[in-house]
Amino acid sequence: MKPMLLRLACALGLISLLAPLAWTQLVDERAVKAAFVFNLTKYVEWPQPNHELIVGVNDDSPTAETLKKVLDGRNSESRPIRVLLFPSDAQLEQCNILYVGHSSPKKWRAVLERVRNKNILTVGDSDSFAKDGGIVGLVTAGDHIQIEVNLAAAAEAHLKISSRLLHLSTIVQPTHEARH
Amino acid sequence: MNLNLPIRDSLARSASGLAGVAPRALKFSVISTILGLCGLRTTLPRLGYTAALLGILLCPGLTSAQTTTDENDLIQLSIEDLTKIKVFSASRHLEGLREAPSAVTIITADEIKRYGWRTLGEVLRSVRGFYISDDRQYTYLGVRGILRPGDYNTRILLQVNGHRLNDNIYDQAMLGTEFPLDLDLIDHIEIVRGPGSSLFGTNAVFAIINVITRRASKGTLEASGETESFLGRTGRLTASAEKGRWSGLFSGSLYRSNGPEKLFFPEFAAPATNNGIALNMDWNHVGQAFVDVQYGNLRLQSFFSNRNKVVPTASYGAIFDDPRTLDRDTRGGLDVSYHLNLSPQTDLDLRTYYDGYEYYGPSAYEAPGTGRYVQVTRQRADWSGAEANLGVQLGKQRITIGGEYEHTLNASQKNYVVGQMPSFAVNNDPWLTAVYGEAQLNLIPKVTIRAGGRFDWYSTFGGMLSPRVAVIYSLNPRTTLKYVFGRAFRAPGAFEEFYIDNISIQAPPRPLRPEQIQSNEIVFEHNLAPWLSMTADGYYNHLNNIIENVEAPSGLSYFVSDAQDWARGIEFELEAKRASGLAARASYAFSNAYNSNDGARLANSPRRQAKLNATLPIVHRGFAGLELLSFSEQQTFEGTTVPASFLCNVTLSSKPLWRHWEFSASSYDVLNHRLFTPMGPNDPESAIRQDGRTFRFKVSYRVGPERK
Repeated sequence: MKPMLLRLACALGLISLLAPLAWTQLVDERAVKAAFVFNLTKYVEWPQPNHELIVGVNDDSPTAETLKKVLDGRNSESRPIRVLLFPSDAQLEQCNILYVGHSSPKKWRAVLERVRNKNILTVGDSDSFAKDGGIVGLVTAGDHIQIEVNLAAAAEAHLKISSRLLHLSTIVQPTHEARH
Repeated sequence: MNLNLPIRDSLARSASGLAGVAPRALKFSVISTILGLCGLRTTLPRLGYTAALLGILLCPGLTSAQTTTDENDLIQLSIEDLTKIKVFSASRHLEGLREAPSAVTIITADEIKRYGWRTLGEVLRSVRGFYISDDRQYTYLGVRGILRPGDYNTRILLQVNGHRLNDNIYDQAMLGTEFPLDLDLIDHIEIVRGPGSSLFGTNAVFAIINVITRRASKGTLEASGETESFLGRTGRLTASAEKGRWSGLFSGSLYRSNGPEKLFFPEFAAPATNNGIALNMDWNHVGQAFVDVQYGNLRLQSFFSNRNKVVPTASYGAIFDDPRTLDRDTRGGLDVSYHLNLSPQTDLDLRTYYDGYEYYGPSAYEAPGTGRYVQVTRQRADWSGAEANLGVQLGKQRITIGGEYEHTLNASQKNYVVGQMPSFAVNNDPWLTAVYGEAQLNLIPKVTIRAGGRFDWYSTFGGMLSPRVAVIYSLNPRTTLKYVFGRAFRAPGAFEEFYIDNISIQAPPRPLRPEQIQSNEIVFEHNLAPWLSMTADGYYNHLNNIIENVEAPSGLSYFVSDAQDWARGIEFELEAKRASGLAARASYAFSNAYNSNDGARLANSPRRQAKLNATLPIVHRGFAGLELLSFSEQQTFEGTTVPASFLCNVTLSSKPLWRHWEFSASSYDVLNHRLFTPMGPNDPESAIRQDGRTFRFKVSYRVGPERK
C-alpha cells in the first residue's frame, strides 16, 4: 500500500508539473536584462560623443557572464561595446555604463559613491537600486522586468534620457537625504 | 557573520534560454527518473535506480553546448517588447556566507508558508538526506546517516544572519520550539553541507545552517495568530520602519500549547505508575523577541527566547508523570556589525557580540530512604567575542582572510537539591582565538579551485587545523561538477569538559580531545531546463575521537573521545520551479553508517529516505502544499527496531486577500501513522510515538506597502 501510494503521488505530482510545459515559454531574465542594457545605449545621451561604449560589470553572478557574452563586441549606433568585468579604479574612469549586481544596499551605495559626478550610467537589478541613487533599475516584478529611472541621479551624471525610454519607465524619487 | 558575499559556483547556473529539447522527450526522461526514484520500496530497487539513471542519461542536451539564439533574438526586440516578455527568475544571490563550495539547499519564506512548517526541525526534515528525531524535549537532526542518540546537534553549526546560535554549555543547535526565532521572521535559510570548520571553526562538521531574517520595510505592522491541535496558540506582532538611512524591525511572539492530555508509555504500564499514562505532561510555553536595527552600514541585532517545556518521558530516572520535571532554556544575544567597502574590490566586515544561555532543569526523583525530592541542574554561560573578515578581489581570483576571538566570560554549572546547598558548582572561563583564510582561484578556464584553512587555538586543548580544498568544474553553462575534501572538528563543550559532579559524572581518564571528521564529497549539478535542475552527490565521511558518555565500573559515567564512525552514501534530487508558483522537490538519499570500532551499524540511521514536496497554485488565490516523506527503519540505542515511517502533510495557504489578510490551514500526519522516534541512552523508553494527525490554522493581518 505505502510504496504504491508514494509512487503514485510522485508520478501525479510530476506529471501535473510537466503538463503546462508545452504551452508557456519563459525566458531567462538574465538574457532579457542584457537586452535591456543594450537598449539603454540607444536611448541615453552622454555629454561627450563616444567612440566606443565601455560597460563595467560589478557583479559576480551568472548575469555578468550573460552580459559579457551578449554585449561584448556588439555595435550600438556604430559604437563598439566592450565589457569589463570588475573594473579597477582606473578602469572605472573610462566606463560609460556600470552594471551593479550586488544584492545588498551597502555594497551598491559604496559603488555609487565612487562613480558620482562621472557621467556614468549606473544600472542595477535590485528593488531599491534606483531609490538609493542608481540611475536605472531593472526590477523583476512578478513575471516581467520593469524599468525604474531616477531622474535626479541622471541629472547629476549629466546624462539625458530619451522620452521614449522614460515613457516606459517608472520615475523614482530618491528616498534618502543627500549625503555629506 | 553577515558578509554579503554572494554565493557563487554552487548556484552559478547560467541557463541560457530554453533547453533545445523536444518537450515530449523531456517529459519522458523526467517521469521515468521520478518513477525510478520512487521505486525504492519495491522488491526491485536496482531496477528503480537503473530507471532513474536511464532517465537522466536519456535527457537530451546533457552535454551539448547551449545555443545562444534566444539571446541574439532578444537583442533585436524593441524596448517596448522587452517590457512585455515573461521572465523566469534565476536563483537569487545569497547573502553573507564565507561559502562552502558544496551541495547547497536554499529554503525560502514562501516555502515555509506553503508547506506549513512549524519549527526549523520540520523545515530541515524536508531537505534531501536530513532527518529529525523529537523526544518531546528537543528536536535532533541527523545528517548523512549520523544522529548519535543522546547528542545535542553539536555537529551542526546553526546561525542567524551569520551569528552563531549554538550555546557555550552544550554546543546545541536548537531546532524545535526551542529555536529562538519565529519562523515568520525568516527570509530564507541557507543550508551548506559538508565540513565548514575551515572558515567557521567548531560545530561545522556536517552542515552549516544559516537563517537569514527578513529586511525591514517602510511602515509595516503585522499581527498573526495561530491555533493548533492540543490548544496550541501563537500570537505575533511585528513592526518595521524605514527612514533615510535608518531601518528597524521589531518583533515579539508568544506560544503556548497544552499538549496531548494523555500520553501512553508502555514501559510504565503498571498500576504504581498510573498504568503508563502521563497526564497533561506535554505542555510548552515560549516567549520570543527580535530586534534588527540598521543605520547605513552599521547593524545591531538582538534576540531573546525563553522556553518552558514539561518532560513526560521520565528521562534520567525521574519520577514518571511528575510535572515538576521540566526543561527551561533561555537564550539571548546582541550582535553589532559594520561593513566597510574599502574599494570596489575590497570589503571588510567587523562584528562584535555578546551572548547568553541558561538551562534550568528541575527533575523529580525518588530515592529509598530519602523519599521524593526535586534536583535541579542549572547551567548558565555568557560569552563575548569579535571577528574581522577581509575579502579582496584580484582580477578573477578572490582572497578571504579573517580572525576571531571569543571569551566565555563565565560558564557556571550547578547541581542542587531544592532547599539544600549545591552538591556541585563550578565556574570556568575558556577562550578561543582563530585565524583563517581561503583563496578562490580561477586560473584555468572552467575550473575554480577553492583552498583554505583555519587554525584555532583553544585555552582548553590547544591547537586545531582545519583545511579544505574544493575543485569546481563547469563542464558547460548548465553543468557543474565538484569535488570537496575537508577536515572539520567539534571542540568539547563546557558540559563535557567541566561538569564533573561525582554523583553521576566522574572525571575522565584522559583529557578530552576535539572530535574530528574527514570528509570527501562529489557533487554533480545540472540544469535540465531553466526551470528544472538536478543534483547528485556522493560522500564518504570518517569521524574520529567522537565524545561519548561511557559507563564506569563505579556506576558513574565519564566523557571520553574514543569512538569512531564512518558513513558513506549517495543522494539524488530534482527541483522544478515555475514563475506561476508551481514548484516541486523530489529527493532520494541512501546512506550507510557504521561504528568503526566494532563494525556495527549505527543506531538512529535510516538507510533510505525518499521525499517529495510540491506546491500547486490554486485559482490565483493561493497554494496547496503537499509533503510526502518516507524513511526506512532504524535501530534504536538498545538494539530494537523502529519501523519505517511514512509522513504526509498538507497545507492550503492563501495569497494576500483584500490586501491585508493571509490564511493557511494545515494537517500534519494526515494518514495518522503516529511515527516512532528512537530514544537515547538516558531514556527509559527505546522509542516513543509522535502525535498522529494534527491541525493548524493561521491568520495574519498586515498593514504596509505591497510586498513583491
